[in-house]
This record gives sequence, C-alpha cells and structure tokens, in this order.
Amino acid sequence: MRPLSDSIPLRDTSAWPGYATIDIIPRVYGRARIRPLRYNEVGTLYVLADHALEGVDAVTLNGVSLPGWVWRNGADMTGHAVAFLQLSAALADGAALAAEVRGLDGNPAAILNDLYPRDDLQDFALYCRNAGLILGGALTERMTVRAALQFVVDQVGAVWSAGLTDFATPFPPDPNGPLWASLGPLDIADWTAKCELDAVITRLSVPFDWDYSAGKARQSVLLAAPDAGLVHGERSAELALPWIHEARQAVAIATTYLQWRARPLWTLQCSVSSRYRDLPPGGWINVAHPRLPILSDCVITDLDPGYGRGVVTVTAQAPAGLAPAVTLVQSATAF
Amino acid sequence: MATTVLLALGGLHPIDIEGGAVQDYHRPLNGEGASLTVTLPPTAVDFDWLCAPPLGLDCRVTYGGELIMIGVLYGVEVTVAAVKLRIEG
Repeated sequence: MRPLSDSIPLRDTSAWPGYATIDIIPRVYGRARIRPLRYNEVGTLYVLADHALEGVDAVTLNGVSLPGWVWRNGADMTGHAVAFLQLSAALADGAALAAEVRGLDGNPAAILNDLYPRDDLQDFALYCRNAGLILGGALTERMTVRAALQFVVDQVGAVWSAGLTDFATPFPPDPNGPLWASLGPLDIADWTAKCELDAVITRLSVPFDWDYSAGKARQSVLLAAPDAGLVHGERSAELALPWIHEARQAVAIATTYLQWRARPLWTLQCSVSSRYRDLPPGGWINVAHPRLPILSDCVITDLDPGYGRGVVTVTAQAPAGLAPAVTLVQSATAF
Repeated sequence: MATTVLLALGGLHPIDIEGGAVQDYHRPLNGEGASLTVTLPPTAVDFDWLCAPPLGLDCRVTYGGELIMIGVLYGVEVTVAAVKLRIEG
C-alpha cells in the first residue's frame, strides 16, 4: 500500500533519450483536452498520455481542425505504454496543438482506486454512476497521493477518510442517513463551539471544464446567496472544478457547497467516552446541551480516538439556521 | 472609573450587550489594534441570538465610556462557562 505522503508516480519527458522540453507526461481520466508532447526530433510524432487511451476525438492546430492525423496505442523507447499521435507533416515552432482524448475510467471512484488501490469503493462508485458524476481531466503536476485524492473528491462535492466504511462519501452526507450517536449534557465534557466570519461564503465563482492545452477554464458560473449576503456582507470565494465539463453538474455541486457555507458554521469540539471510539468521520451525531447553540445534527469532521488516554475527542460541524436560497448570477464561456 | 464593557451591535435589530471583560486588545506603534475579544457570562447573550449569530454585523465596543473599537462581529466561541465574541476592526 502506497503511503499517502508519497508522490503519485508521474513520468516526465526526461525519461526519453531526447525531448523538446521537460513536461509531465499526462495521466488522463475521462474526456480531456490536452497538449500533445513532441516525441521525435522531426516533430511528426507526439505522445498524448502515459498509458493507452480509449480514443482520440479531435486534433486542432491553433484552434482549427487539423487533417491527416492518426493515433495509436504503443510503447515508447523505454517500453512503457503510451498513446501516440502521428501527424502528416511537422509543425512550425510555436504552433498550438491540442487533442480531445478519452482516457482511463472517469468515474471518481475508479480514479480514487487508480491513485490509491482499495476494495471498499463500490458504494461510492454506484453513487457517482447514479448521479451521473463523470470526471474528465489530466494529471500534469506532481502531487502527493493525499493531495490527489482530495483534488478528485473536491470535484464532486465529496469527502474521503480512511475512517469511513466506504472511504469516500458525498458532503454533506444524506440528511436521512443514520444518526451514529445522540449525546446529552452528561455525555460530553470540555466542549467548545466556534464560528468565524472568514468561513462564511455568500458569493461563489466556479471555473470549470479545464482546457489543458490552453491552461484555462473553458466555462464558469457565478452563484450567490443574496439573503445571506444581506446579513453577513458580500464574501466571495472560488470553487474550481476543472474536471467537471457540464454546467448543470457544476451548478449542482456548487449550490450544495454554497448552501452549507452561506451561514455561520459551528465547529464543535468535545470529549466523550471511549465507547464512542468507532464513530465514523462523515457521520451524523446529535449533541444536546442547554448552553450549546447548535440545534441541528452535526457532521463529524475529525475523531481522535485518544488511545492510552481513555477519552475520545470529537470535532463536528453544523451550519446555523436554514439552508439559504442560492441563485445563478451569471454563466460565462472563455473566448 | 467605570470599567463596563458595552458592545453595541447594529443591523436591523440593534442590541447592546453589557458586562464581561476585554482581551487581546492593544495599541501598537504604527498601527491600530485590529481585533479584540469580549468574554461574557453565558447568560449575558440571548440563546436564540447565539443559535444564528449575525457574523459580519457592524459593532462598536466601548470600555469605561470610551469608544475603543469600531468593527464587525468576526467570531463567536461558546463554552459551558462563557461566551466569547471576537470583534475585528
């Protein structure tokens, strides 16, 4: 099992005896628009991905459809599987070549499994399939396994934890999901509840549908929670969803994100008995105390099992008040 | 000299909260105190108000009759023993 702090194994073009520039050879999931990497000195053979592809749908040169290209899966000089793009003629220096490709399985659970192999992702895979959540993008930067997992789940409004039975789950969890514990005043000790203004967001910019050949998002939407803005002021943030390609999905994910955050977010920390050691992160609990200003169920965001101390520390989150209305202010397309 | 802390919160329903202690406030050279914390007994603040705190609401803090900060309600921390309101200017 690869440690989470390890870097994901991405090769770069210095693995070849000759290269134009040193670039990460991309790992592509789902559909993505990428920049092919020159493979031969003549400039007629390019590499599209550091693995076999399912297909190549289009190739453009400076934004215009390019004829006479052929693609194939093969092996590079080191024997590593790659996908090639063969052009009929070499290109001029500085020409912007781009390809629309279909790579590895874009189901978020399949991507998580590719990065960090596990056998408990079936439920999350089913959830993503039923919700129509398919990602499309390329890994082109070095990062740790942990950062890559976080990057993937952020795209679909989910969270992950080794303490979760299904490893990954949507956030916030299903409000009809199981209540893992009901804690009363005698069950909790040393509790604090905090909320801060810098956690409140009332306006959310969402760039999505990343073009890896141009290095920018092809679409964006702007959402707002106007009633929350009247109370807390205009507080803007950005939620980038580069691997989401459909506006409908981007709006749905961002709406859930903004509804959770367009109100004060209580963070509760308390000590409980060691018999609550198996509470799962991402699970609902109810905590009641006459002086605790949290009236709704809370989501566990962290759990310290307190081995050797005999006390468990629970950190949980709950928004204050009802979910605010979220409106779509604007949608835009890059030119 | 009176040492009463008065927290005047604005908005559509202005309220004054009196009592408690001021902490983390200072006046450095070449700058103004950017934040302070007012610690209050739990019964000093209406419970319903605490359940949905109006973060971002404008706020004036007076100590002993002297205005020491004009800012916004930035954070709320509640424990079994106290309520702490953080004001940022």
